Amino acid sequence: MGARRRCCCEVICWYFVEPFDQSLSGTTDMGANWNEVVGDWGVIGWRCVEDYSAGGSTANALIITTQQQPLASAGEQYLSLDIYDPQTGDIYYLYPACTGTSRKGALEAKFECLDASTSPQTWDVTIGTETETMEIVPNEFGWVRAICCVDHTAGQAKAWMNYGVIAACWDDSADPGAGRYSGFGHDNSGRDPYGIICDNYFVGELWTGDQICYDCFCRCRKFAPSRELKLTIFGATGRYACAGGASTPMLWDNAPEKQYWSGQVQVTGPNGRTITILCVMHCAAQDPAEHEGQNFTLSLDFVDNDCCHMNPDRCDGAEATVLSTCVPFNLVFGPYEATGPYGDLNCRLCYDPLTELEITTGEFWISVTE
Amino acid sequence: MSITPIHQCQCRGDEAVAPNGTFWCDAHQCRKTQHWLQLCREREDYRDAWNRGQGPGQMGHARAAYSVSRTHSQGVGTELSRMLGRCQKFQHQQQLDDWGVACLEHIPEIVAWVQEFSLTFQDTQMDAHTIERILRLVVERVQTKSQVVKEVDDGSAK
Repeated sequence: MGARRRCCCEVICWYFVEPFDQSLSGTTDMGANWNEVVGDWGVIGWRCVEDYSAGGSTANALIITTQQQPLASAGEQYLSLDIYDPQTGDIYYLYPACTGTSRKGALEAKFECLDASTSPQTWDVTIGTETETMEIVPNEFGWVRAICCVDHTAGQAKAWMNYGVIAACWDDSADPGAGRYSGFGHDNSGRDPYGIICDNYFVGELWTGDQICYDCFCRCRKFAPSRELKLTIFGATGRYACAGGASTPMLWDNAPEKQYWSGQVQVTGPNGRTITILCVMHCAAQDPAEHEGQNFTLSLDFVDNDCCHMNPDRCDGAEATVLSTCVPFNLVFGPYEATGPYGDLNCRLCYDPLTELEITTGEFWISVTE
Repeated sequence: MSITPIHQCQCRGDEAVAPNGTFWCDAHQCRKTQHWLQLCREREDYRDAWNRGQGPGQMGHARAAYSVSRTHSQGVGTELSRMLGRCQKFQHQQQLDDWGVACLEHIPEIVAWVQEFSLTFQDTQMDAHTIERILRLVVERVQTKSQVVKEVDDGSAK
């Protein structure tokens, strides 16, 4: 049997990894994969160092890789770099979407070590107009990892630190431009003996035409929704009729244990009764092929009043229905249908069961848009 | 270039305004929030969706579309394409979806199509007998799923 052909969608995502394992010790040559724009970079002991010959370090040192990603994914990059033994005052940069081997792009991710004397260390991470202070614990060998990703198509950028920590500094209106190169740098003020030491540089595509690569944005197909969305109840009938049109902003909770959008809808019925519905929307990493928005799930909880006497499978993390579209971004959840006992006092939201005896059913839908 | 009305949002925003600020949009036959009005006015993709009857809040089409798309997603062609692998869309998927169960009347034709398609992901044509077995399996699955959907729809209609 002959060799199998590679099917169309099995295009390998483009990436470039630099472990700095070349035998370049003792020289200032970083090899053909790099352009030393500012500073005196080199490889010592299988690590990348800067200003190792003179000691100290160079201000605004910058190095850009000569490896460029495919044109189709220009401006869409995932970058990471390992940093050894950071000290208070150290400032490191990742430069995504550089427009040439000596030109930075429109955005930079800045990692400033505010205090390395404690554990965890304190860092300020900045990208675009957003800054987050993060508590970072180096691994057992003293390394921390700086990560960023940018998406020219969606106009978004994220930056964060360390292994497995997904709390991110997220600017959802920051365009990195369409650069295809990348690099890193630092702006220290006197480290010795080797300035900075770093390792394991990685740059890769976020996706190719058919395949999601090492992405860090939640996506609805290829569309990346922003950190603030809008939830609206519609199609409300019967016992939930007064909930129609109620809406709330859905905001991204930017903490390691809260990676979701959430918002609270308040509905006040004609009888003066008010209930609050807590809405939490999660996003799985990849959008399945079944239908658009299938990777989004929405959970509802009625605060203070357990009024969720409705199809419970919908209340507890149901996926967006096939009515959903990614462009325009409109996730549709529902129908949420009343199934509980009508006599339940907590469910007298829109009608009083003692006076509106005929209204025993009801439903509503939910739309999440930009 | 002059702007024709279809390129503008047809909602006024002051029709039958409810206490919660929503209003009834006659043009799109749905109740809209002020945020949706803004999307309608400023975003062409949203406006197009409303003009097609598939915009946020358009309940008139929601149930029908929900039911149709659920059924549609279980078409024979769609299922067969999935079984063959999602790398490439099976060129005749829609034809098989349209035929539905009746595709069993076109087995030789379908076998030839799949054999040709199989050359896009392997070097030799798939065996005709295997293709026919896969096809019958797919039809059986689609029939089972359609029955479940029908029962659910019948149940919810009551």
